[in-house]
Amino acid sequence: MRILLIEDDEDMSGFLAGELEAEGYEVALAANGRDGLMQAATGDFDLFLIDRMLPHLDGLGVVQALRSMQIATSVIMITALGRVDERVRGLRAGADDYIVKPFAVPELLARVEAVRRRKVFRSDQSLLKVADLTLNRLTQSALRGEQRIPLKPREFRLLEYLMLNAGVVVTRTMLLEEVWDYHFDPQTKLVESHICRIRLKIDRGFPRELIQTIRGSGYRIVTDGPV
Amino acid sequence: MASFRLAVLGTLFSVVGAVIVFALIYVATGLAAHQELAPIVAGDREDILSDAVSDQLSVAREIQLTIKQGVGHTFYALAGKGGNIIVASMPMPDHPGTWHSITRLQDPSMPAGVSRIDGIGTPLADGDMLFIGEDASVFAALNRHIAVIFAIVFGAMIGLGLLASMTIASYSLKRVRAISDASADIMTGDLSRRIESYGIDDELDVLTKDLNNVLDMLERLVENARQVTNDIAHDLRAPLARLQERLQRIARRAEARHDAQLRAELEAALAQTDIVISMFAALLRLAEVEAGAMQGGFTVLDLGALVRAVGEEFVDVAADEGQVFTVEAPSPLWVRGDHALLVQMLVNLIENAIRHCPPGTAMHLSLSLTSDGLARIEMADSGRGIPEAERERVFQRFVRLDSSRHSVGHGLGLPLIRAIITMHDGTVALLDNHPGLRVRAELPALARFNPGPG
Repeated sequence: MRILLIEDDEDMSGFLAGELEAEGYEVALAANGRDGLMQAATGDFDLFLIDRMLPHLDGLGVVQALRSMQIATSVIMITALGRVDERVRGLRAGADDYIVKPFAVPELLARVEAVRRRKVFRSDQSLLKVADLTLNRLTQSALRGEQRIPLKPREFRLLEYLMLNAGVVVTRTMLLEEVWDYHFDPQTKLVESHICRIRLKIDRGFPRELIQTIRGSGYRIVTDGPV
Repeated sequence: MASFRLAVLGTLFSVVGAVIVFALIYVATGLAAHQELAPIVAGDREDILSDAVSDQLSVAREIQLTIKQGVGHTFYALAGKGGNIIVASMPMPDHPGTWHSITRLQDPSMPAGVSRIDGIGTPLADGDMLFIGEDASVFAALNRHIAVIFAIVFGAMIGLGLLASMTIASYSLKRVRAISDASADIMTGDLSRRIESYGIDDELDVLTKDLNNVLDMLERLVENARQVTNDIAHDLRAPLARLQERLQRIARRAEARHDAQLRAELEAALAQTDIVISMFAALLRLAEVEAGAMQGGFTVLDLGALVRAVGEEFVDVAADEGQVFTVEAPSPLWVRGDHALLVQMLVNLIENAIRHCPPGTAMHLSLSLTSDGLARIEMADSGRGIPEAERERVFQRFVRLDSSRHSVGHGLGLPLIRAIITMHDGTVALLDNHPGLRVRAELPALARFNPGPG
């Protein structure tokens, strides 16, 4: 998978390129908006990582230009501006996701994977299946093996998000943004509590735990392996 | 109100002035009448006396004859030693020896068609008293005319003056009130408010201009202080991001070398940078809310549904801490507000209680509509509470009470709650819950949409 990173801070881009390459991605670099747009338009990439503040042409401008050229490649916007309206502007300009500096590397890696998978995985199915767990999106209920599992609305949303990203690590921040629509950092164990409740419902009493905790990153629901 | 008193006092002075002038004129006309009539009266007396001598008649007889002849302008009264009236064409005054002005008002038994008689009495050689008076109706009429003119001229002047000074007083009262209203607004935190100037360069305008200059300076200072914190928060994000990135890089290397101890150290260091980052995020959000006080992102929303939805998210969180958390909210209760910010405010409110209360504490989040049309959100707990003296202080940025120093948190929860509620034209108060703390936030409900309280 080829990623184009458009970032003017060389320290930052060098570090991120190293981390992404360590995960097996191919990374190309551009140091300003104009060069970045040129490379993006002519090269063959699977994902653009674009900083919001760039010399010559800013990140929003690059995304808008790409979208107007009918280039539908996924974009993750990187920014130091954490304001809610900035996020909305970024998404409106055509970005697929938005990550606020400073962030931990696992946060970025998780979002890269999630955005990549979103392109592959059709999200309009009414039944989601992971191993022997089935989630019915119409009745908002789950089935593990033969056992019916009733879910509260928030538990459904949480499980749905995990299953849409099956096999991929989702971070606490991603869950807060996507499941709760909270764009701030709660000071209590909100996510942990809800994950714990879901685990009690779908994993307790079964030989295999489907929801895994990835230390320092987040959570993942397994896809492969024997049931 | 002082300006009204001043207006009344000014009018009073004008009235006293007018009365004095009128009195002087009255005295002057009196003197003029005396000068005019005294020689005539004296002449009449001499005529009567000499005629009496030459006609060999008594004075009384002579007077009777004169009266009969009908000398229209002169009037007589002759009294004996005992005060008995011998002959008279006018009433005899009480002390006839001095110059008199008798008006019909004083003595209604005056001859017909005469409104005032001026004259003086003289004792005769045989002890009788002869009073001779001249018709002074002309002077009386003059006085009347002067009085009427005075009443019209001064009345109009004083009335208009009073009206004008009252208008000026109420005008300046209105302007002073505008200044004091603006000051009240400014004291509640709206530092951008300015006092309206009337552009007429009077004393109040000069004062207004000076006050506005002071406010400009005040706002600049406060804004500077705020800007400095915000700049620090914002500018430190880039180096902080790099610090975090370096630490992550080293941690990765430590992992490659299987140095578990170093890795653990680095994870602890990274956890600290996470705290700083979350603090900055909260600070920047606070700055965003405070700066965005004028922005429109407001919609009509059901606060009841919102309180219940957010509250229910935390029931399990509290249960995991060994606490009992309940939520009660009538729905719908409509308010105008920013959905995302109200959610964050509620989360802060609930988390504040969860984080500061020991296990086993009961906590209750409630929403109600007060009789004066406010949506009242209350987060009550039976934990340690906050001493009354500290209750205002905890709304300041970064203030954390000693009792909560050991727990996580950045001291920005309550300031953010207040900023968000203030942005919604509401107020936040900390009350005693006997025992524990009761945080009460009130914001205007939409009267048009909501049923009455009950």
